[in-house]
Amino acid sequence: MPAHLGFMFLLLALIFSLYGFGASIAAAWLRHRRLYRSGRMAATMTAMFIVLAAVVMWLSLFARDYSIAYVWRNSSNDLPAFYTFTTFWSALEGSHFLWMMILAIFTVIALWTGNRDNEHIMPWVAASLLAVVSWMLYLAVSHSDPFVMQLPAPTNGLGKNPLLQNPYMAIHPPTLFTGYTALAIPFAYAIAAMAYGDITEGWLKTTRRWTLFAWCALTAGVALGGHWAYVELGWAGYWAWDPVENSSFMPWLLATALLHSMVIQDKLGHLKRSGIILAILAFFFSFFGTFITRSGIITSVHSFADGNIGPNYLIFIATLLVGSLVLFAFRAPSILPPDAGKVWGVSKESALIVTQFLLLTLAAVVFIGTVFPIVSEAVSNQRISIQAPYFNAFAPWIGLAMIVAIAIGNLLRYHSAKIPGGRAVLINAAMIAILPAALFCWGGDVFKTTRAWPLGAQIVGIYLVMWSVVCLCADFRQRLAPFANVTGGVFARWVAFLRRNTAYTGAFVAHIGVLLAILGFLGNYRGVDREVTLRSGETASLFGYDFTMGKFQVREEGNATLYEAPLLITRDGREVGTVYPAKSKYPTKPELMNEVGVLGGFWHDLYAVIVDFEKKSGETVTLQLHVNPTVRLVFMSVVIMVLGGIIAAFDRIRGDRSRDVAGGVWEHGSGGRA
Amino acid sequence: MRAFIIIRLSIFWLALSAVTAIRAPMVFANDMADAAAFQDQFRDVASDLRCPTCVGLSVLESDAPFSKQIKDEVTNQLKAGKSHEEILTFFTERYGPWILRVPPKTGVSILAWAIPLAVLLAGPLAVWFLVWRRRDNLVGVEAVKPLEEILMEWDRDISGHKEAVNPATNPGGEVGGQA
Repeated sequence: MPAHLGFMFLLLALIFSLYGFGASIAAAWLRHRRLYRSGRMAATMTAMFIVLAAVVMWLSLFARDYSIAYVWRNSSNDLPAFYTFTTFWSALEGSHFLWMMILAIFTVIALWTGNRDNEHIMPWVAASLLAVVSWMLYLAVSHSDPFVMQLPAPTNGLGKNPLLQNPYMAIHPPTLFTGYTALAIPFAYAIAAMAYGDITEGWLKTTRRWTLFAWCALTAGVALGGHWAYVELGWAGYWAWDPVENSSFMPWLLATALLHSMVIQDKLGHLKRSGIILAILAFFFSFFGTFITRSGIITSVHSFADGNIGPNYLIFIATLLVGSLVLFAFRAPSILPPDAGKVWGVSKESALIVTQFLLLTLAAVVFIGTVFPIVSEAVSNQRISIQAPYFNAFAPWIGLAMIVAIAIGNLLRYHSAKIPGGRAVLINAAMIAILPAALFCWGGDVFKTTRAWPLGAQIVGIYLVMWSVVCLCADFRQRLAPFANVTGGVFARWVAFLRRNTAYTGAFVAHIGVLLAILGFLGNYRGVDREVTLRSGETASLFGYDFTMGKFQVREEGNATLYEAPLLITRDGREVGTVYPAKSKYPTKPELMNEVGVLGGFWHDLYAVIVDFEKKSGETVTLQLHVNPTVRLVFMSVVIMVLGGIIAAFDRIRGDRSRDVAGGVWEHGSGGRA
Repeated sequence: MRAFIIIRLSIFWLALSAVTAIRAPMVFANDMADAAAFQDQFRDVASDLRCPTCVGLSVLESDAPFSKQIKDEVTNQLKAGKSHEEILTFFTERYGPWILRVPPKTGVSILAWAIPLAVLLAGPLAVWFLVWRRRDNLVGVEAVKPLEEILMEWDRDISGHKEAVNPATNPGGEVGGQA
């Protein structure tokens, strides 16, 4: 009876986590070291039991044990091994389970790797994390039980959603959840700092690393989701500003703002309290996203009350937010700013504030756009839609300001209104940027945009991005200059530079990534598409390409049947390649799914999707042909951004020098730190 | 210096716009200019209406049966000479404001537009007042003020007080200078 075993493991995990929570609180209160260590051990046991339960789930999935309702509902006999494995997180209970498991594992890692200097606040960290884990476990054994039984066991399952039978969707949820849950660690440290009454030594170093890790995972996770939408949904875009996407974007924005706040905290000791607030909000929004997508509140306010999950989530996130903010209101005044004078004015610290303002404004726009329809329906009973055009009315302006802020902000220095090298840098950059901007416009066929406003937006955007990139490079050169005297050749010089500027280099790479992403987003202003109906051998042309349809074919791939229309793409008589757009049919589901045909290049993707086909003979096929500019650039830039984040995480110095060191002592326990 | 910068910058922009101007006419050399114009009009309208059965997509991007019906209706109405606004009004009357992809700028919904705008406009002001202007009290104020200056201020305060009590004795009001 694997279901009973799994459920028992979850129940045991719940008991251990509750004990761990209680022990940690008591340890924090009594400053009892051994009690804390007991709590930490309980956290470890919690994670272990959750992993054991997960193993049970995976074994049941592979054993096709349809006596477990989750397995029955989400898999079937025909499912390949890889997708059987990922079925674990392909429905609500399972994704809750996965999230809970990652959170428990991170809790254990955070507690065991915590800086020794921070040991006296660790009980608070443990208590905060275990409170969240306990709540998730409570849901997992009550309203979101993955081990609910289905007896007698059917012989075949209902099958997995075909949309999720895609490699991107297989890795997207774990990556995103990794980001969400990693944000729990800065949150827990923020709570601990408030409970303890001060930011302790090494606090920033730990939270900075975890935030960077979370940021990288979120960046990758959001992009993987976008890529999935691009290749699976067949509407030729990667971002629709729909509530699910938005809810993954908000924690990203807050984590980014938090990172920028941490830079000031590290350098000047300011913005400690704003860092705490941002850490709380970032974690809150990772749960908020789950709440609005899971509770069904998005589809309608009325479907919200039907399930138990929604109200449970609402109570939890409300408690999370209100509790944290009340704690903040009472305890934040004890977290003092440093004695150092306040030097804001025109300086790097102010530029970082502006950056945070822009990020938070964008987050506010996304938040309003996501929840306003719900509020409107609940308050005035008027149903309204807020979709892409709304967000596109604000986002480009914020993006534009960000491009400028990135350039100026990186050139500025702390405590100084002067840009090293003066205005000459800005002006020279303005001059140098013309060439790459012009080349990009030419290569990307920007001037084929027929309408004035998108054309202008692209030219301004491309030029500013190039200018900003040149400014960043100029700044990089300035920082490299002092290392010209390092002896031992080019290699030694770079090693010396990278050692002292690891975080800076990471930021440089990540900012270049952001700018390239914006360059890629601008491609959305010039996409073209066309709907055609073709017979075998007929040709349609779009944007200088000729699409010739080959013989319509039916073939099997994995567990799916594909109805495929091969399209030979030529340009001026030369072959460019062949794409295979198809409709696919999965054994357990009645509907036909889109399998898009994409031929990617640097400048644009050729994207073909079958709208419809003559079902009897397959003679005529209606296709939607798209030319999507710079989609590859967007996904490449995400790789660059993540790379930047990883580089920055390797910095060994950053965050070590906490301005106000608060030492703590244990009252009970052996060998306490004096 | 500043004029020089402006001139240089405008030359760059002229160069860029010249490039644009040279390439632009090629676009309009298209034979099917009329068809393209109609297509543009259709896209504008279709991308303002939501697909009733999808998440986050416009009818333009969707091939759901309901979206197809709406697209056909849009095409018919455009051919009948109806304007963009008229068609949107037609659909709003039929399905409610829900069919539009952006909230209407009336009633409660106006908040969805007003709040972000207010944040965008008020934010820079807040940053200015809360952060940038703090530079004024930059250096720990009292501590570094020379003693003479503090004494002078006292004098000023005292004579200002006298002035207030009896303005006739000091009509010139050159209080500060006397210290």
